[in-house]
Amino acid sequence: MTVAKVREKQMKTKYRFILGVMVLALPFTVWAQDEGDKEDSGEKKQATEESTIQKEFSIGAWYLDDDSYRYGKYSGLTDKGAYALVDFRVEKRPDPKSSDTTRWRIQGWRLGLDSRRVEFDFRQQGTQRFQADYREIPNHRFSDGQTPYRKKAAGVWDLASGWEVDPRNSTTSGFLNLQENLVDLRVDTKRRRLDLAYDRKLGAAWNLDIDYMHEKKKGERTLGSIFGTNFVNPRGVILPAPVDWSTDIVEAMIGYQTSRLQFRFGVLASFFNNHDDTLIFQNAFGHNGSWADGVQYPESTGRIALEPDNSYVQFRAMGAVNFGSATRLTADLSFGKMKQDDALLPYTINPDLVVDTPVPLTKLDAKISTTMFNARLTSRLARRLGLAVNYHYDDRNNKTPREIYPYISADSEDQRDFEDGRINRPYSYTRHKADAILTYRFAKAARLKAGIDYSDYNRDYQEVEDSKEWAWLAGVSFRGWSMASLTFDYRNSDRDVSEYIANVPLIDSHIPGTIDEDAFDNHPLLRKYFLTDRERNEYRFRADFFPSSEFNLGLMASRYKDDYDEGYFGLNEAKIKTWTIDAGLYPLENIALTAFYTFEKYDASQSSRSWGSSSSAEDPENNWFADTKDKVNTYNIALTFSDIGVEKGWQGVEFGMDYTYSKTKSMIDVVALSFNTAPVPDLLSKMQTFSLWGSVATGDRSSIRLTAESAKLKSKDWALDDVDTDTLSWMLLLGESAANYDLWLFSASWTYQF
Amino acid sequence: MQRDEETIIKRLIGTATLMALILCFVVTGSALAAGDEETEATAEYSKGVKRCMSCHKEGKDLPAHEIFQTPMGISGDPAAPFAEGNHDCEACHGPSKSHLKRQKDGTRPSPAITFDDKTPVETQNDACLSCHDDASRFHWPGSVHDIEGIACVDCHDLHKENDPVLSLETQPAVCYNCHKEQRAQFLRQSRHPVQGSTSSMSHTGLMACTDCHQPHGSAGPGNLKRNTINEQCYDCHAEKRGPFLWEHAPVQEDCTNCHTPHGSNYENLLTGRPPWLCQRCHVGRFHSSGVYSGTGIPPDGADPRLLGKQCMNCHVQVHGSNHPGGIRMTR
Repeated sequence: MTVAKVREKQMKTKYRFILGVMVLALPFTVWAQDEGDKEDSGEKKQATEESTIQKEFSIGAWYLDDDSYRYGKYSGLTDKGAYALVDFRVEKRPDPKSSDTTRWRIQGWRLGLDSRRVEFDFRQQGTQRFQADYREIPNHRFSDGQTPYRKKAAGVWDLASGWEVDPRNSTTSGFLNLQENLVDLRVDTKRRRLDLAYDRKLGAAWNLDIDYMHEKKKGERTLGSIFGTNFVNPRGVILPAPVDWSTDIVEAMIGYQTSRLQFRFGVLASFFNNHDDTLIFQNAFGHNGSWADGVQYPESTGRIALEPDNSYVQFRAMGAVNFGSATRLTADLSFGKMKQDDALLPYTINPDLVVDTPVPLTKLDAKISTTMFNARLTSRLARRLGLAVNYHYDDRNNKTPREIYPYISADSEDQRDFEDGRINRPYSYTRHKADAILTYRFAKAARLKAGIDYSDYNRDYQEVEDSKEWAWLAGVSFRGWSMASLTFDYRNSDRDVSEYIANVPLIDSHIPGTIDEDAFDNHPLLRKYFLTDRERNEYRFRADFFPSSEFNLGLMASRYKDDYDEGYFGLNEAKIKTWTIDAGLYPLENIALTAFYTFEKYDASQSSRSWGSSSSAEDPENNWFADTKDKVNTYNIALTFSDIGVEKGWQGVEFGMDYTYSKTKSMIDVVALSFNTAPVPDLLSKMQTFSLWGSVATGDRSSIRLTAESAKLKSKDWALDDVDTDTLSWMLLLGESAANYDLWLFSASWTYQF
Repeated sequence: MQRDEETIIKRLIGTATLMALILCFVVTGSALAAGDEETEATAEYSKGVKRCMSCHKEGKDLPAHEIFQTPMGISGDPAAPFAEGNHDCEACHGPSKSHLKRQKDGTRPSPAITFDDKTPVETQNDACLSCHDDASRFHWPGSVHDIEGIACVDCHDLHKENDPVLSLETQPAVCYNCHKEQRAQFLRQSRHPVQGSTSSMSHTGLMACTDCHQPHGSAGPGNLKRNTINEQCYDCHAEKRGPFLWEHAPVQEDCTNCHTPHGSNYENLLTGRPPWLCQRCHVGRFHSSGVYSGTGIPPDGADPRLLGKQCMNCHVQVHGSNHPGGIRMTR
């Protein structure tokens, strides 16, 4: 069976499934309609003519005074010039005094841009509701890339005709006519997403919810494309990989509800489809001594496997029982299955390479069963005392077959010996988590909180089999005072793991007997941060003051600190500090001045030991340390005047301004005992926006709105700045630069309501 | 670790037994504690909305006239407050006849239930939940917002024609009233496209907080709509779900091992900068334990682990590879 046929079959299965769920739901809907009609007939008055339909249209234009892909990353305002500004809303509301319960609205935003959205909402209150929401979400990454490759077909890239390379040079310096063959490149994607939701009451106690989401994502992303290595260093190019993905998610639930009992049954099905299986590219490099004979431009091609199609189906049952008005027990159980059975690629696309052992499976037939169970007991033990007890069980049981895959690292080399094969490790885990929280309310809105939680995490094929974590928390909040509110929370957790055996992944991925039991690939003193002992302390404080209706002030501070065991490599310590100050001033009814400042600081300390052919894994002189400090300052100030000049008879005159500044700075300090190091330049970004807007009524039903926005972004990123396509010897890059812009955006629009 | 269904069922039965024991304890305790309940003062209903609206009309303090533009304000739905026999405003505010008469000092007694600090949050929320008890509130009791004592009206503006928290375009600003760290994070370069705290087109919002979160409580962590962090991420990033032939363990466990969801200093919402982020878990022979610093950055040098896509120049499929030669995520 060809890949296309397999795909076609999968698509048919998928759509049959979705159709099936819809068809199954239909009889309920029809039955409910009948029941609803019976209930509605007779008693209700006829809808009057007083229900209102409101219509509002805004038309106008945006004007962007400079090109910037990055400014329009999500909005679509990427190129200098004018864009249509079109928004609309049409809404029907029922006359509140009539028996009419039908309400609908259709609304559109930014219809002239790539980020357009249209929403439709129809409801017969108390009976049914239908919603449709269409969104386009662009992601413009960069427009200043360059490549000597030309797209031959989706996912197939060939070098420019006439590409010349030194046949004995396998570095970028062997490219003899690179500059002459570079062409400009834009990289972006766009999502087109449709959400449909239908809720229906089925008689007095039953209800049905069906949600469906279809999303297409198209465009390109950048992907490293490795053609070969010399066993240590790679040879490759960065290329645009095709993105032609679609995702369908359907979720249907039927529920029953009384004051004492609630239960719901449902199914969730998610299907991902990738229309491109591979990225195929012509090798750009001359011959490398480590590669098979004859492998060099132009007689060689590389291939990367792109993400396979997959599916996930989950069945879910939930129930809740109320024991009187004070106690409730809920349980939520789901069983799911993830599947992926795309055809596996052959080891290499180059037919001249020696491949003695075929791929052990034509299709992986990967399967993972998931089981999740949540139970929650909540009770008001007394009027002021509340209790919540939770239990969470999460099991991922990976049933993907384990096989030996003789190693072939790239399309440049012959297959290595069978004994050098690797075995896949289909990860499974089981998590248990239980917690209990007591809350005690004193006064009308002050409360104390205390709780504990415990979690147990069991894994396979990893360095640590079992980890346990205990935590306790306490908090107090005062929200009942007329002029202030205060909140303080603290949480401490302590994770304790079973024996850390550093070479478990290595041993598990090799054929038994082919590797020494003491062998290691990661240093034995490494402790991966998510698999090691850790103490975490978290504090959070918040105070809000509102001494008068004209002024308010808020303060918030939080601190997280993770400590890991000393004497090991990996992450040793991580801290996050945040504080925010907010203020609002309202000197007159029609004037609002608001501002905030947020400061965030992230610190991480890590250590390691450089080891290889000339540096020993045992020698502490090879240790090195890296401290990363990220600082973020964010300011905003906004001033709004509304109803200006009412006393002079002016209508609908409003004016506002807004200034936002966000500065991020990342400082990385690397220190090594016996290796040369140099300071790492700071990573910087400064983003400023200053907006002015004003509107004025031009009649009872219309208004004009003008806006102006100055937007500036300055960023420095040493991974991109001053890095050309051939700066690296082993990798051909795209040469894009860090994002920078300094531009103005103007808009003028006319809004008419009728 | 392929376990059979029997083991799973045994564990579930064990859990159910434990929960049943706790339930017995709690039900007994709450019954014994019933004597602690404070009794409500007896109160009468007024004659309905006309009396209320004579004061709470447009242009007055505490106007409530816009409620008739909302689903709450229509009388055609038998469950709505203004349907016949449902006591209109007092369906939510409780029997408040005494509120109509001024006291000797000129003030009026508050309605039985006020949606401010005069009424305990539980009482306020009970008033809302007595009608709004549908599926989306299934997990409300015991949820994060419930435990924190958040009132429904802290987020919802019921007397407004359009409740801002119900619109994708205006919702984030409501959430930012409390979630101030996220407000700042959504103003960074690398972010999910949720509307920033301004109307600037630099911070355009194409997503809402409720695309990922269920603020009324859920079975997932952090009020996520799905059961786990990864399940939530896969809704929009299903290509990373796999299962892959070669998996990357921290990816399958928890996306937040490497990514932060709201906004980051680093591209692709990473929590740190490669190669050092990767080197927190990789201290292998040769390059993964190598010392990388300014010596590998122009003009001092050019190291492929520092420039371009850094480690991902070569390890291109870090979320998992389906190529038979892809154990190192390079294919």
